[in-house]
Amino acid sequence: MLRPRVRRLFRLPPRRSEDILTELEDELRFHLENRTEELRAQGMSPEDAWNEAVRRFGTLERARRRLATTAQRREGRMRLSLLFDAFTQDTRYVVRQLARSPGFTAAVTATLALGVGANATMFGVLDRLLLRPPAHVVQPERLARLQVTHTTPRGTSSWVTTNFSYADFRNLRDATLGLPVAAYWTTNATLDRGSAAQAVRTQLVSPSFFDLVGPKPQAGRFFVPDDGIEPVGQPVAVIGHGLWMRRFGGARDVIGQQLRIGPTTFTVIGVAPRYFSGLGNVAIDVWIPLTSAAGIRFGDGANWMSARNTWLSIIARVPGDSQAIHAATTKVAGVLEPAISNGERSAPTAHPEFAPVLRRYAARNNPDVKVARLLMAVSVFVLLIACGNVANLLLARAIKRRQEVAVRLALGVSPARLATMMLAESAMLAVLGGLGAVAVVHIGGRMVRARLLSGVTAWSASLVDARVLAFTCVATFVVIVLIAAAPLMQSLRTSVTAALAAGGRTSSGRTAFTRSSLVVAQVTLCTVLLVGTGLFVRSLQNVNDLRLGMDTKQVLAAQMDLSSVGRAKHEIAATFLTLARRVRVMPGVRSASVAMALPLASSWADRLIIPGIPKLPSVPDGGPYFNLVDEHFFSTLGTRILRGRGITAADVATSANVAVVNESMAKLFWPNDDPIGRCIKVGGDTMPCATIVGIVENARRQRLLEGTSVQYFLPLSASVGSEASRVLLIRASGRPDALVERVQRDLQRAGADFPYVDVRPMQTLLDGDFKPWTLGSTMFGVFGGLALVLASIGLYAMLAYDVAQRTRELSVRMALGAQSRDIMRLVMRRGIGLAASGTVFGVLLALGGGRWIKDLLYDVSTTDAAVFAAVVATLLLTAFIATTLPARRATRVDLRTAMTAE
Amino acid sequence: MADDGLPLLRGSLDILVLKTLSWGPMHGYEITKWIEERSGRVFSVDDGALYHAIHRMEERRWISAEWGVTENSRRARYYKLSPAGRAHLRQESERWLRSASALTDVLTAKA
Repeated sequence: MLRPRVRRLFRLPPRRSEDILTELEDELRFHLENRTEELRAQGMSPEDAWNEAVRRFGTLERARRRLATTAQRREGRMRLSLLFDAFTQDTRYVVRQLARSPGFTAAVTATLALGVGANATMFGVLDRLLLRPPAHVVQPERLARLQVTHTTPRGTSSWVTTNFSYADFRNLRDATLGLPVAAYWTTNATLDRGSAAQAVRTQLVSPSFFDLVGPKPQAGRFFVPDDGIEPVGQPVAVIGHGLWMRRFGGARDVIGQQLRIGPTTFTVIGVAPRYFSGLGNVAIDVWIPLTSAAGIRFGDGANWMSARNTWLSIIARVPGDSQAIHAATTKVAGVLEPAISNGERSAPTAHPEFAPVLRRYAARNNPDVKVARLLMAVSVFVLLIACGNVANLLLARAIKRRQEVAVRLALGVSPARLATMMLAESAMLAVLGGLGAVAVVHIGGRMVRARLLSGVTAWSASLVDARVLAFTCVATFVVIVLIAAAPLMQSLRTSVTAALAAGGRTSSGRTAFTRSSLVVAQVTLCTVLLVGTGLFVRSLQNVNDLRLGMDTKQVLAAQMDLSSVGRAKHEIAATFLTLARRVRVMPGVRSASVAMALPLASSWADRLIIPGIPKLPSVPDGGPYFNLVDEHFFSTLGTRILRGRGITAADVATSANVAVVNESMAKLFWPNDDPIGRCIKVGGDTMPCATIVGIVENARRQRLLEGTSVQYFLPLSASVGSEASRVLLIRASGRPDALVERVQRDLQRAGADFPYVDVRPMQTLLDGDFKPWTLGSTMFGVFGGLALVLASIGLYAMLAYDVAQRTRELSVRMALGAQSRDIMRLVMRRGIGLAASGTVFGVLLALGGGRWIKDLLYDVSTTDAAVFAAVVATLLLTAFIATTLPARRATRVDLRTAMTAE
Repeated sequence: MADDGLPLLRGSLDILVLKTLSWGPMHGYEITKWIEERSGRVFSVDDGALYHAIHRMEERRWISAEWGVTENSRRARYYKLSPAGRAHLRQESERWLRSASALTDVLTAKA
């Protein structure tokens, strides 16, 4: 009973639901009509027949509705399985196609992986450094740090202080500010004694700290107000996750265990959550109450509470309401005012404010933010170059397949279907590229951490996490979609006959222009990046070559907090002198010196009276600062004595009342006279005169780049300053790094009850200051190098493709008598021409855009000729190398194969 | 006349449709007529239930559907038995016949 029917040739396209419903209606109506006819044939009237038919159908309406639902569901399921089949078939096809051209697939995947991966790494790093708030901090956008801006009465200079005394904190805490405050200070303290001594990163906090910041303990509890009751509070400690693992193996019974930190034995009462590191980036090992500061800072006794010692950071949780903040700030000014304006100097006006802790909200011209933005721009450049490569590769491939596409179109494949296939191919490439990018981020992140950010230890192991992954995926897909669109359009607009006739070999003028301009654009961006690299490298060189007034590169600093193990003050001084003598005879040591304060790390100031100058001029940068030094100090540090003499052994032995001033002090206080022989009184008017015996060159006090600093030096045995604070400075005769470990081990063994001996090169004290240029030149260098590699691959690929396209033409030329030299010249001229135009554009762009990085550089003009020359030379050389290979290959074209190939 | 037709046994509609289609592709009305005639007008088919059964079996891929043209040049939806449907038909017929004969034995047993 076969019936003739219409056969479908192609797959059933998905149908819309209206069509399904219409079909159902048609079917039902057909049925009813048949039934009606049958009944009419039996003699009923048309109307009765119809009604009877409907009645026979039984509950037509409800049936109709139910049938509609089932029909749609059925249709949906069938559609899904059809789509799934189509999907698997397409995927298999795409994989086969890509496997057939492994070079292309590898090139695109690698380029995407590098381009997107580099960007994602940059994003991950910046996210951790700047965007992401510190871990486990509740509502970090509400946290603010107290800082006071001082301006001299005439407004000539201003500076910002962020350190306060315990008295300040206590006054603020007890005043009704309307917002909660806490204080903290971070330092390295000693755990255990003698040879087992180790350094632990310790944060001293007020009892309100954990409540204010908001983390929840992993085990045990945090501090309560009683723990911080003056004067000594309770010897309780909260440990960090790292210490918990390292020392206690993560055991649950850590609560109640003892830790000997400094002079005190603390009991562990809780464990902080993993990755919590207060408000900073560096992992904290242990938190103890501020009241335990005695012995860890300022010696024992009540010095730590004194209003004269400013050492604490104060934070507060501020409300969103600006009026409330203003009211609080006014109150703070009132509380702090008496503390600030005491002293001889004409009181500068003090303006307190709450600065947000989160850097994201920090002022726009914050240097960290600027560097971050710059780095992001740099990585985007590299991404653009990578995109250029991928676009070129895709275009080239599209052109090669024009013939194939034309044939298919002629056979009747719908353009939409073809477009789907090509998009599927692009999607597959995107997936491969994305996976590669994730791998790059993982490896790259590790390298970045190890090299540049080793101080930042509060990260989890890998840079790859949800946010970074999301960024990577989005970036990859955007890239692919954007650049796959063009070749796609190109393919589909192909005229069938033209493509078939051309045999898929020639490329239209327009695509050649697109591809050439892509290469030129790549070279342009690359040039700009390399110029940036050059400028940063030169800045770094300049900064490195700065005269600091001391030779930090050759000097080690050895510090040890003997007061924390109960040594009396005079014992401390004597111990250090003994250690100095011990160190001087070690091999590799040229000289050693004992001083009170470690230059670049801490500064001391006291009242200074100069008879003959009733009102001292105000000193910029606070000060004048002084240090107590022995006879070897200036020679160990390498500070030149300009006039007169330095401190001698005799001065130290007899506690002579002498002083040595630095150049700035001489110029500031005695602009028209000779300071040598003058008298200064340190500590008050009743103190004896210290006679100035010499002038030394200016040396940095705290920062790499700072204004003039007014300093003077007294003999080690002078009766001002602190007897308990000592540091040992060691000058190495060879490389200082090799000496560090030896000195550390030797000094650690020198006393059975010694706390941890911290030995480090003095240069490390300045590392933070070097960071912008170190970071800048490294990142620019890496990205610039990457850009160079990518751009040269792009140039090479384009020329190689060109040569392949022009085999016929070239072989004809050779047959007509051209030498291989001429062919090579032909190809290379094109290549170098492209590179040269890119370089020219790049140079112009770099010259114009220099102003954006101007204030990140040091002592380098943005139009530095040497840098530009070097960059141009590098690029042309690279272009030369990149073009030789295709050019060489062009000369080996065989005439016969070229002519007969099709 | 068809009012005093017997209602179909539960679940038997599916197998009746499949058996009907084993004679060749038909459209919905033809299936109804075929069942009515072949059963000697004993069974009357509820058309709504029929189309439900058809849709269900279509979902299960026992039958497939195509629009075709009748002898009178009218458009109708034709149903065809699929290989899976054929296998199911074989299985279910056996089962039905077996349970029907067992039932008959029990009901005709002399007391």
